Amino acid sequence: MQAGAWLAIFSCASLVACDAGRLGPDALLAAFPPGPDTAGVLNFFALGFAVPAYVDLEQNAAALDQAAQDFQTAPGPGTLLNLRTRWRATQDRLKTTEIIFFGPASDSSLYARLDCWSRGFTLCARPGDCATTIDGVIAGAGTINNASIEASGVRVRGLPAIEYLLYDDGAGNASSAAVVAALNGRRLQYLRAVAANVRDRSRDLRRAWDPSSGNFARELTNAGSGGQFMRRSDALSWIVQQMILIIENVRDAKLGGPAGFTLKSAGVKNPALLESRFSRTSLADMRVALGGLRSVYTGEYGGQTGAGFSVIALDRNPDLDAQVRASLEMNLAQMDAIALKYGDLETALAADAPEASALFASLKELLVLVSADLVSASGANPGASPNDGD
Amino acid sequence: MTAIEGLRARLARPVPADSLAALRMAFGALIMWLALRYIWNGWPEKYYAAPEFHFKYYGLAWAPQISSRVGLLALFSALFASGLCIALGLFYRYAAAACFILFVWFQAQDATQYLNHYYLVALLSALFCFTSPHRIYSLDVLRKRESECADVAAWQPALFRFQLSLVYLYGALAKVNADWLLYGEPMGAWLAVRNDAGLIGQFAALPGFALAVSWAGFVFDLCVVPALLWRKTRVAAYLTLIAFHLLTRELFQIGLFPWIMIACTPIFFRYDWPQPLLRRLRVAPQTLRAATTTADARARMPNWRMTLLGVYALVQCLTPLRLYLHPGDVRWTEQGFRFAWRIMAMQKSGTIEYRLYDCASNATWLESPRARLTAFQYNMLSTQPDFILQYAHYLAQTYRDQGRSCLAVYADARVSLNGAPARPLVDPERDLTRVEDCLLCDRDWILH
Repeated sequence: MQAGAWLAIFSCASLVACDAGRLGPDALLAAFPPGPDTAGVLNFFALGFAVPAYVDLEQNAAALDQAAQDFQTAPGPGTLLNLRTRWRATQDRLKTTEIIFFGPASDSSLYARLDCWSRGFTLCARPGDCATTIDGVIAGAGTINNASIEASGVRVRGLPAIEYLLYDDGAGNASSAAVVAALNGRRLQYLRAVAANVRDRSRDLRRAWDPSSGNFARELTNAGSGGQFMRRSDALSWIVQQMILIIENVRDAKLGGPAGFTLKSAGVKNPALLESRFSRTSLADMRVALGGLRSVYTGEYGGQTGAGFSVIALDRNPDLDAQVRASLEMNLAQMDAIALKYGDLETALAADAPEASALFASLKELLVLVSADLVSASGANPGASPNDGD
Repeated sequence: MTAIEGLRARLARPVPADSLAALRMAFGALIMWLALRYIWNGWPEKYYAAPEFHFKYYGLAWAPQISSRVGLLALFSALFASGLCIALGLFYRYAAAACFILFVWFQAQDATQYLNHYYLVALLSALFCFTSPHRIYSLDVLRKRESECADVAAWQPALFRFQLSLVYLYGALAKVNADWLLYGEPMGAWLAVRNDAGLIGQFAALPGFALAVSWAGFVFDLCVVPALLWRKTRVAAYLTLIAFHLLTRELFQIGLFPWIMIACTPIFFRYDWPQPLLRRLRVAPQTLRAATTTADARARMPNWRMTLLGVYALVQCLTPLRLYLHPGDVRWTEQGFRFAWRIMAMQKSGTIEYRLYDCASNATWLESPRARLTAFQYNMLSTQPDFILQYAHYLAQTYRDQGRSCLAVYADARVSLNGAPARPLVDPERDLTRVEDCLLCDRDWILH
């Protein structure tokens, strides 16, 4: 009898707990503050940031491919300048999406096919770099086309390969005249093939996320309703993990390695580890990659605004939100200051610029704010084991 | 009769073996489920084969590391088989021993995978080695390998009750801190990103709600065992227990923990609780019981067994309390944190990098552990001092092997606990190659 009564109470309580979220009186629920807009954060990340950023990337990659065609039609300093400008614009769009290294970007290795450097692989440009190199393929007799590039490894393709072809004549000369003179025959054929391949892979990325095709965006917008993320908080944790990794990549790989601060150079300055060393635009890579993080955090991209991760920090700890925003702006400002004073990171490192060390330290503070304070305050669980926990 | 004699008599008296047999079946099924989950999801490869370095428990570094996929698959397949045999009561003694050894071996593979409920499974599997839940409802009895016995000595189910009680009682103790009971943290942080979770999610942002949930968790942990033991509140307590664990399962990623507790706590019921159920299922236990022998009601518990039980109980009671031997907040230092049932007691996150100094070349550089560890290992490392030390020693050894014999290793770990601003966890100026770990010594290189 007593057991039956308890069972009835338990059943009712369970039903209420399970269903009230959907069926409960709106008036009752409206009386309570809603808390941070976690659904909005995921919606913005997917539809306000990732999808438009990939659309931008696809458009710029198509323009880059067109510029390569234009150069082939009329080789000269003017078309080369256009080609270089288009390459940088595409690189900027790709670096903006560097923070989205999950889903199609990582599962299908699509990102690595566009940018081997950021995934830890150095470009195989000249003979001696690796067994198979860009110059080696050009010097050979094999077919060069989009399909052959697609079949090749990540270290001889993507935007780093295009940078090499646009800023190096194969003998270490970056002058426009030298590059224009060298960029013909199989070398030009290689450039065209890589540009076409970058266009196609960028399109694949956009399609994979686009709600009208692959719709990976749905994994985030519908997180907690089946799919990759069992709970909305799992998806938020993934975003935090990407935020942490991008700061680490900017600090350790893009700056620390070349400057000799980190393991990769074991204490020795090594400019060969710079990201865009042929075009001497490595500082721009850092800035844009951190800009991607700023978009995700603040909820601002391409003139549009939405709910960035900031809304969660703001809800939990307004001081922390202000600190993260200030740290982001300070790091970006420090990069601008280096550009203003030294022109580029390559020159700054050659001059042992104290600003580079200061930026390295400042990025560490941003990293601590995000990976320790923000994670702790937001209840996120980045890098969690999917197996168990208690 | 002295109290000890009275206790001895109570522990020796025969009681129906039904509930213990039910626990055996449930436990075997859980082991099977656990092993299957690992194999199905490819976790052995991901967590044990892929990493370059594995963290070890103090004193368990000798356990052979299995790094091949086939070897790991064999381990988990054998674990599955042992669970099956335990559930069926087939070759029970061997299966229970195998289950214990295999599970501890699996746990020894990488200490970053420590979970309180895996520790519980290891202890329960050990207890199954020394009890007789297979003398009824088992294939060993059907095969006449074991004589059927409808009763067991009362100390056997009592041992399991005792073990499960500690999980809740020490779980409550872990919540006795200002963060949990005064500020509702880390519950507030956890609920902030779970506002999609049904009714509780709707109220997540309500002022004081996180504190109320924190208190509810504390009161539940504190009261559920007495409530399960008292006949009048037992049903209510068990239904509450089910609701509590299902709710935590919904809110948090805690794997098998809810199912383990839901499946094992019926041991607190009457010793013969499965009988009415079996009768309803038209399995006639009376027929079975009529044919069985019963334990001798006048049997005395031998001194050695009484002593062993006492020692085991004492060790289990004292082990979680060892944290009081160390200075500082255990949530920060983590000295005495493991094997102490501090379940879901904090939100801790951080970042770490090592600074290496080669005195031969006078070179200094930073190394992120991400270069050699998985994301999960990195997260565990960044907040747990003993792992930080282990990894420093590993780095030193790795570089020594490369010819850098004069190397100092420093760690810069910044950690935030329950939303507090991050601060250094270990002394960043202490050369960790000169620090040796020990079981109970104070780690003076941890910054309090």
